[in-house]
Amino acid sequence: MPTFESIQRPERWAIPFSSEMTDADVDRLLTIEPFASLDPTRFRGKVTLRGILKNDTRLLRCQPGDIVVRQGDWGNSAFLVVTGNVRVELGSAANLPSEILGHQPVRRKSLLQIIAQLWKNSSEPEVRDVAAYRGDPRIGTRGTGEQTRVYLQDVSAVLSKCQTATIEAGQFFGESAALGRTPRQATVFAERSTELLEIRWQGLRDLMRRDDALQKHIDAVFRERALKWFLMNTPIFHHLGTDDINKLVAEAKFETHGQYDWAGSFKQLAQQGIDSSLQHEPLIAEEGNHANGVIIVRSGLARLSRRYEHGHRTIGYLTPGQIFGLDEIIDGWLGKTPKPLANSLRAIGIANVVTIPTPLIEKLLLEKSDRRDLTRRGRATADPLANRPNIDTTRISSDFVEFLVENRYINGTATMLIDMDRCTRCDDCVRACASIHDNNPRFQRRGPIQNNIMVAHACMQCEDPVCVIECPTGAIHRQMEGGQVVINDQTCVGCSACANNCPYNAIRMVEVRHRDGDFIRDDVKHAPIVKATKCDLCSDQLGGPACQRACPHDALIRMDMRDVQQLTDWYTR
Amino acid sequence: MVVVAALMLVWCSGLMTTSLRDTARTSGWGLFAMICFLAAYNLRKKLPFLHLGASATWLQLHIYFGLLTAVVFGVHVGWRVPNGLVESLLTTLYLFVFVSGVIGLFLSRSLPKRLTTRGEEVLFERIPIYRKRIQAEVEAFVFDGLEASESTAVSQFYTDRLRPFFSQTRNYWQHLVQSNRSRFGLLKEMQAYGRYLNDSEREVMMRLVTSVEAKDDLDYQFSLQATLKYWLFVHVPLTYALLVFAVLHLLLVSAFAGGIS
Amino acid sequence: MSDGPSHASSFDENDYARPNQPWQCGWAAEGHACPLGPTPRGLCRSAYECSPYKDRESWVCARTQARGGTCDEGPLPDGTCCKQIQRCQPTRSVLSRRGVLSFTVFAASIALALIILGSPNRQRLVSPGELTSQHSQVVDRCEECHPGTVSFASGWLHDSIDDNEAQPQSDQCLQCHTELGPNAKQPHGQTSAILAELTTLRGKQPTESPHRYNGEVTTAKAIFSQSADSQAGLACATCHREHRGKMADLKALTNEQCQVCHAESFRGFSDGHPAFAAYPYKRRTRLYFDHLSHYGEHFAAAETTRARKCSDCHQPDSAGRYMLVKEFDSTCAECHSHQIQDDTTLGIAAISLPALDVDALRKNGREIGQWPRDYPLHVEAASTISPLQRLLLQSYEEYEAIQTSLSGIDLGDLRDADSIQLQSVESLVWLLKESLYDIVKKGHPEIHRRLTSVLRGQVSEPRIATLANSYPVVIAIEMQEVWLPLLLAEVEARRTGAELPQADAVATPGPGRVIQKERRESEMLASGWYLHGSSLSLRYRPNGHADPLLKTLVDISARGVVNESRSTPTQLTLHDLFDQVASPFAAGRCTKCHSVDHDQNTPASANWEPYQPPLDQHKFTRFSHAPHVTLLSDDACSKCHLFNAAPAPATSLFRTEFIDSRWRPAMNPLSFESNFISMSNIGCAECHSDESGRDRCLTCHNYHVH
Repeated sequence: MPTFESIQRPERWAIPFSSEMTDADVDRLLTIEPFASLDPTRFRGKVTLRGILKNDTRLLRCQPGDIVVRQGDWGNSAFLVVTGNVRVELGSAANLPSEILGHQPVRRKSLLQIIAQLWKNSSEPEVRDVAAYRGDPRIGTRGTGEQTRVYLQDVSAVLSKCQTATIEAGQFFGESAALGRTPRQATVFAERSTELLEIRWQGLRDLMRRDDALQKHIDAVFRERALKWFLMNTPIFHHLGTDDINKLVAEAKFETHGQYDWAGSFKQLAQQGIDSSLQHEPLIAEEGNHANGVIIVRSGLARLSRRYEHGHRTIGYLTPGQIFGLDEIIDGWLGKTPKPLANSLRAIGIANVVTIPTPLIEKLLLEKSDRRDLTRRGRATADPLANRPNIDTTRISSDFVEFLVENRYINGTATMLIDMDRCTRCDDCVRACASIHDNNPRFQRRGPIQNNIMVAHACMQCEDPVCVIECPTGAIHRQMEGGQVVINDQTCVGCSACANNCPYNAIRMVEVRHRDGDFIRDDVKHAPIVKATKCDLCSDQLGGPACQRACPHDALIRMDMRDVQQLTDWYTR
Repeated sequence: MVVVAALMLVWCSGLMTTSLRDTARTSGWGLFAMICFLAAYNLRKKLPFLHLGASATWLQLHIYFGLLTAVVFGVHVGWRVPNGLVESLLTTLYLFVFVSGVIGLFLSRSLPKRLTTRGEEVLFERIPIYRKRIQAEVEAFVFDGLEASESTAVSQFYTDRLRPFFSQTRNYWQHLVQSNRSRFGLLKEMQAYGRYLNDSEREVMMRLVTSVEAKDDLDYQFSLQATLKYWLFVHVPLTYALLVFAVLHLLLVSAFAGGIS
Repeated sequence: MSDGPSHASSFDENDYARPNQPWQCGWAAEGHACPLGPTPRGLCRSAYECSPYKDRESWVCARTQARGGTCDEGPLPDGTCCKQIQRCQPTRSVLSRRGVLSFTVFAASIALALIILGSPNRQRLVSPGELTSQHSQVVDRCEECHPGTVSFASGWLHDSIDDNEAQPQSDQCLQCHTELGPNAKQPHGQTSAILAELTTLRGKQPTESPHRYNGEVTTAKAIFSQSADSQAGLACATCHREHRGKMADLKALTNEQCQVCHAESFRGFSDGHPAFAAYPYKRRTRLYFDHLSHYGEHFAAAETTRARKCSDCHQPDSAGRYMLVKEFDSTCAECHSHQIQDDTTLGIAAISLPALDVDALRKNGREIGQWPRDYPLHVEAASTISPLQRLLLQSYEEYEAIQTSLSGIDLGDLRDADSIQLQSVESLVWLLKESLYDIVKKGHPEIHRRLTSVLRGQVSEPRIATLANSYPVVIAIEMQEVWLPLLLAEVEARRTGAELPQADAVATPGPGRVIQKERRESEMLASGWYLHGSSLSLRYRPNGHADPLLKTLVDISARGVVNESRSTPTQLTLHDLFDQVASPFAAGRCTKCHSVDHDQNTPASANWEPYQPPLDQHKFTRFSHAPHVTLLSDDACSKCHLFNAAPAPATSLFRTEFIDSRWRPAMNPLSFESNFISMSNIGCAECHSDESGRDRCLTCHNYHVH
């Protein structure tokens, strides 16, 4: 098909998902469902079905027991079973031991162990127990680098132990996590040798646009599994009954804005200077337009900005769960004349938002509630309708807000802020950190300073942790409880994907050592073994991050950026 | 609050003296306990993983109790200059520790604000590195400039006037007292020297000016950060000495006790 | 692969800074710390930048990208890396340097401490300060005052551990300060019993000026109450703090400190101090001297040029504390000496011959032998027997019977006396003669024997001796020769039962006798003894002030003044004698000035001396006259000692507190009315005020009472 050859490769496929996809594979795929039944005519312009299959997918061949996705992992792709079948583990994580999934077991130190750190701490930096790497016999890995896979040695045993469901050939899985940018809800592993088609979410999105069946299917699955739960947990809908919720679920629109792998592009942005960032943040809703619905951020971040002179002034930001446009709708409803939006909403990096159409809001919320309450709403912060992401710019200087938003520090749930007007540079925080992590600091007391507030290079436990996306072994993962992103030193293969992904310079690759201080080298190339390290918020200790407790001058704080109130109070203390 | 507590203490001790109690013993033990508590702050710093409360709280208490000890001490020695050897030694030690503490308090409250106002934030340990870097790049472009132009004016000036400045940290005390005297002088000198230079050399000189300023800021950072660290070199070691002699004093006193209720 | 930067510039901004590590690579300051870094002990592990690996027979550089990628040179033939890291001198981190310094100082101070404890003159080194100049002269080693502590450091440590009670230390003080008495460690050196009693006494007294509440003291008491009644008592160090330098005042105590132990508290002497109770006049003066009448009458009347100042009669004692009364001769003598040797009084009869109704006796055939007849010479003869003579007669056992039977009989008129009475009169006469015979014949030894037999147990031996020896035997012989010449013969005859020698009823003294008589009269008067013809008695009259015999007689007779309802004959006799000699009109008029004290539990005794200050006593209160007198003007005394009435002529001859209505000495020293108003502290407070600073408790009060 020379014509086909002549077609210039679309831009977005400059870097294909996998270089190993051959045309042969594509041809083969085109013969099987659901692709076979797709109508090629729907694929107009640059984006062809072939192109999608070639560039946005890759074939995975799994041996029995290979773990495809782990519960709690953050995936960016959906899967289609081509041949064979996979098992999805139902129910809680308790069924499969998290060690087997390559996660670190969540284990707090006992008081004795904590005290033992006094003398047990090794005097050399980055000492590791080599024996531990020899491995937990239960964990098996195949392949190297990005291709590394954790697998279950004894599938039959696992099958007998935990209840699972089979996903047969032709079925999709993992799409909701991919689209919703939420953690995987269940672990999936191959039962026998299986061929899977991994489709990255951009491809999936395009397929859905062109195939209503697929669209419906995935949409239905998504709404059923995720959206309902999400809406029920949104404060303003707390008081609604099940059928009302179902109405919402039915009519809610679900959109994704921004690029999935924003972290990389953000780093490039950072190089060329942050000012241009606004152009790179896709508009979700524009100031002055009519509010056609309440927008709820489901995941990711969004910037609230307002036109000011020749630029846009950031007056706040939205983190997951926060809503936009409600005020305008209420005022409009009270004043009988629709109010234009006061601010623009932009996706920072990526934002998944749910839009509830205005009429539905008026019907379900406003008409039910008392006018007077609405007029003086927001006095009481308990009032769910008083949900205001705006920052009080009179108390906190706007340049600081801009700084936080543009550098996307608002992503953090435990951002380390240091008040340099109080900090005496005594390094107590660093020493405290080191003494807890076997004599190794896990953050750097350096970083950009704005208004004498330093944002230190410490893992800020992102709301949207891009670091975990590309980890081949799931060594870096969110803990089931507490939700800290931690690295399992055992399963870390030192590929430094996380370190490269992290936009905040918070993950350090270190060369690990024997007790006697020599590097541990690999047997083949004698290169020192490196491991990813970062702040784990002292998750295995009592009483929270030691750095904060160790600061004598109350200069250091781990700030949850979602809590604007706390931030402002701390800033203006 | 501290003042009130102090007054209370003085009043109480007055009453005790009135009622012919052994004020010295009570205040002495009190003082010893307080000093032990104050010294314990260092211990808490060494055990960050234990549940010993936030360091900030400790510091606050450390400061309040530290100030209080002055009063208790005064009561203990009866506001007299003690005339025994051990006692005099103790007093001297105490005064040193106390005064250094007060100075330290002042420093750690005032210097950070000054640190943020000038120069970029650097880790204390890395200051020499940056200094060497600046020097290296300065010498690089100065002597490159030398090859370009046949005149040695700039390089001469550098070797005469600037090398000593770049080769080590300077003007420690000037920076500490916020004096720009020498920096200003040096810059003026360089400006004046400009009239002997041709354009290309003047360009080099301009670059030199910027690096001089950078280096000076680095010195400023060093001077302040060093001060923030080094006042503890008096405060902490003398505390140990104080503890030792306090214990000695304790032993002697209880050995020769006059047995007053 | 290009030759990446060698380790010489491999400083990565983003590496963790590790201030917790005690040692840094020596190259760190140069900006190219080696990846390995020094050992925990601070030794450089100089190493190679990579450890090449063998790839089919050829060595390959293993330097990682992070460290600059594989180098061009490549490994040496023997497989070692071509780039060796230069050795460095690792440097300590700031904290570690501080640690080293701290340790050094710590060690040094411990060493110094040990040196101090170990040095030969450690005692001087550890001394908390100089002793007071007084103590430093007598004490030069610790253990002299701190008994528990042996002179070795080890001993000190030991003592510091077991709490040695401080009392031994106080005992050590008391070994020198013996003057403080037996229970010196108790408050005020008094037993708690006495203290309690005093407190109750104080409670009874009404406080004239209600004391103002002293806040400080009260709170001090409330919070830190001293246990005063602890058996151990108070340690000396409670008030006396040593080691405060040579000039330190060990006795410095504030009024508040005094008051914490006391029940009542007040501001100061001028403010709330309890008023004086009848101070200082607790009893009548020992000498009866009425200041009012003397100033009002006698001094005015007496034609004398001398001004009558207090200082004429009073002067401070040697210590200057008490005001004393001057000698008799320089004060009272001028007016009163002639009243003492007054020859108008008869004096005291030692031996007398009572006037007898001789005719009645003779008529009834009573044989009394020779006896002076009624005779103009004998008009004053008493028909009774003087108490002093009775004292002697009582030594004859038959006298008691005679006395009883003759009670209420007038010896001068026996006309209607029955025969038994006449009988006893007869035997009385012979008893008199016997006694006179014994005196004449046996003299002083006999008298002494007899007086002793009578007075033993009631009067001291020396007094008896004085009395006995003062009997004028010679004059007694004279008396016998003059009035009863035949006495000796008669008595001897009667003893043998022979016929009584008859003589001329009228015994007329021969002329030679008369001459002798004159001579003897003069001798007699000189000695104070004399024969009184008209009363047929041997009498005594004092020669001047402080007559020993009279004093003796008063002292002896005072023994007869007792409270027992039934008193022995001797006591009765003594009492009579007392009435005789202690009468303000008696010879010598002793009791006119010398008061006689007598109360329930002590026998009567005459005050021969004015008040005598006791030698070195420490009472609660002390007052020193001298400084006040010199301080104040000439009429100093009257500032404090004010007459309680205007000086005036004596309304009655005697004031009843000294001489009662029956002209006998009043003997209760406590029932009296002073010439002076008892003092109030108002006057004192004028000078001893708060601002003067002279109102400290210790100005007038002693803590240590003994």
